[in-house]
Amino acid sequence: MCVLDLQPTLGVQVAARLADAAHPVLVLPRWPYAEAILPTDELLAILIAEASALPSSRRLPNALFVLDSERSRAIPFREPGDHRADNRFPPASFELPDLATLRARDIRRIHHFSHA
Amino acid sequence: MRTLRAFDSYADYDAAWRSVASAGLRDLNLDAWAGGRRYLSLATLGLTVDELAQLRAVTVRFNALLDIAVQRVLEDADWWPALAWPWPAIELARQEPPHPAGHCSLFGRFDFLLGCDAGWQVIEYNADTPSGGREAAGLEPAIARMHGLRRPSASLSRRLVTTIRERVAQHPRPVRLVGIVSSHGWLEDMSQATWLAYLLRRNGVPSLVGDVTDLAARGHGVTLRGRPIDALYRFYPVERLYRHAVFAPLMEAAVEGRLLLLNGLRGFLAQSKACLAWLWMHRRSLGDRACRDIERHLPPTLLARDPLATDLLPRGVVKHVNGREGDSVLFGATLPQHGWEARLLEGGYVVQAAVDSPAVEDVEVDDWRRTLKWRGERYACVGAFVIGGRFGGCYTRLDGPITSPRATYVATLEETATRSASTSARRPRSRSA
Repeated sequence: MCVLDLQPTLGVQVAARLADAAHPVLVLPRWPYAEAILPTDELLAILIAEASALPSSRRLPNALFVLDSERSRAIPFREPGDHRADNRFPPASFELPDLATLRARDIRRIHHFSHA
Repeated sequence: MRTLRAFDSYADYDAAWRSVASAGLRDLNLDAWAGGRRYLSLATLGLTVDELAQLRAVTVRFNALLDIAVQRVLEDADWWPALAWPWPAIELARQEPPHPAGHCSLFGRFDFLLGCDAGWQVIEYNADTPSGGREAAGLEPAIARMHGLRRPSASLSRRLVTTIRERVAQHPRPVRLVGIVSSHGWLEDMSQATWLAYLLRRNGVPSLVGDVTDLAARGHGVTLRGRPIDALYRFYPVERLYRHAVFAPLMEAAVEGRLLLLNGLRGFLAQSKACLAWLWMHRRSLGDRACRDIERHLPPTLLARDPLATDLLPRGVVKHVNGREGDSVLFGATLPQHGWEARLLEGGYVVQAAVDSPAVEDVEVDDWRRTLKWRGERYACVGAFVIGGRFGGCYTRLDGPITSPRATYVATLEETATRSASTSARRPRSRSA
C-alpha cells in the first residue's frame, strides 16, 4: 500500500498514472466553495480530467491512498472580514484502513510519501 | 416491527443500493459509504400502523414533557450539579430567550426502543444536533418506492423550513441572513449544514454556511465569513463551541436579542439524560396522565447518586448525562465495582432500566468476496423527529445492544394491514414489476 501525502493535484495525477497497478483511493474532504481557504477549482478540473482516462476496474493487489498535504495550512493574520470559508480539516484516522484490515488483505508494507 | 427482507443476492442488492445512494446525493447524503463500510443498509424496518401511530403520539407527548423538565431544572439549583455543566453555562441557559410556546428546541429527535410487551420506550433525546434529516429526506423516498410502502418522514423538509421560518418571523429584529456553522473536520455535520442551508435558500430564507472558525464578533454583531448574521444554527457541539473565543460574545448577543440562536443552550439541556431522570423522579407531581405516560414509555431513569440507583444497576444501563453516540454507555451488569465507584465520584451519570427489545435483521455485505448475508441479533434504535412540537419523521439505526457510530441507517416504513404479510422475503416491488 502507498500513501501520497502531497499537494492533492499532484497526488491525484500520480495516482491516475499508477491506476493500472494500484487502486486509487482519494481521501480529499476539501469542501468546495467559490471562495475558500483551500481552493478547489484546479483540483476539480484535474479530478474530472483524470477520471475519464482511468483503466477499467479490475481487482488489483495494491491500493494508493491520496491525502491532502495542505489540509492544515496555517493562515496567520487572517482579516476578520475575510469572506473565504475555512475549509481546512484535520486528518481523520478512520478514513484509512486499520491494521486488522491491512493484514486481512495481506498488505505488509506501507510506503508514505510527503513533501520534505 | 420487523425487517423487510428484500434481497438474497449480492448483485441485486448492490444495484439497488447504488440506485438509492445516488438518489440520496440530492439531499447531501455523501456518506452512504463511511469509513470503508456501507452506512446505508437496505434492510428496511417495517412498522405496523398501530406502532407508528403510537410512536407519533409518544413523541409529541414527551416533547411537551421535556419542555416542562427543562424549565423546572433551570429553576431548581439543587438539580444543577446533575447536569455536569460549568456554572456559567447554566446561568446563560437561564438568561437565553426561550422559543415561543415554551419549546426548548425547534428540531429534535427522540430515540426509542420497542419494548417486547411495553410499546415504545424513550431512551434518549437529541437536539444538539439531531442527525438523520438528510437520510429521512433523501434516502427514504427511494426505499419507499422500492417497497411500495408509505414513508413517515414525507413532511420533514417542509416542516423544518416552516418551523425555522416561523421562528425567524417571531424574532423582534429583522433576520436578513441565517448563519449555519459546522466543522470541516466532520463530513456528516458539514453535509447537514449544507443540506439545511439548501432547504432554507430554496424556500426564500437567505442563509450562509461556514466553519465554526469563520464566526467572529465585530462591534455589537456577529459575522460569518465576514458577513453580519442575524440568526445562527449550529451543527457543532455546544460543549466544543464553549472553548472558542467567540462563545462569550455570541451568547451575549443572544441574551440581548441581537442574535437569534435557533438551537441554543436550552436544547442542549433538553438532551441531557438528567432531564429524563428528572421526569421519572418527578412524574407523580405532573398529574395522573403525565405520570401514566411516563411510567408506560420511559424506562425508570435515576441519577447515579440516587440511593435507589444501585438496585437498578444490575438490570440497567449506565450513561453519562452529556454522552454522545453511545460513547459512555454500558450495561450495569458488566460494570465492575471500581468502575461504578469511579462514576459516582466523577458525577454526571444516570442509570436507566434496560429495555428488552425484539431483535431484527440487518444485511452483512462483503464487497471483497461479493457476498450478502442476513444477520440477526441486531436492535433497532428508532429515532422520531419532533419539529416545532409536531412529529416529523423517522431515522432508524441498527446495531448491537448499544447503538454506536458503527450502526447502519435503515429506512422506516409503514406497513399497511393489507401489505404487511406480503413484503417479506420478496424482491422490491419496483424491481419485480
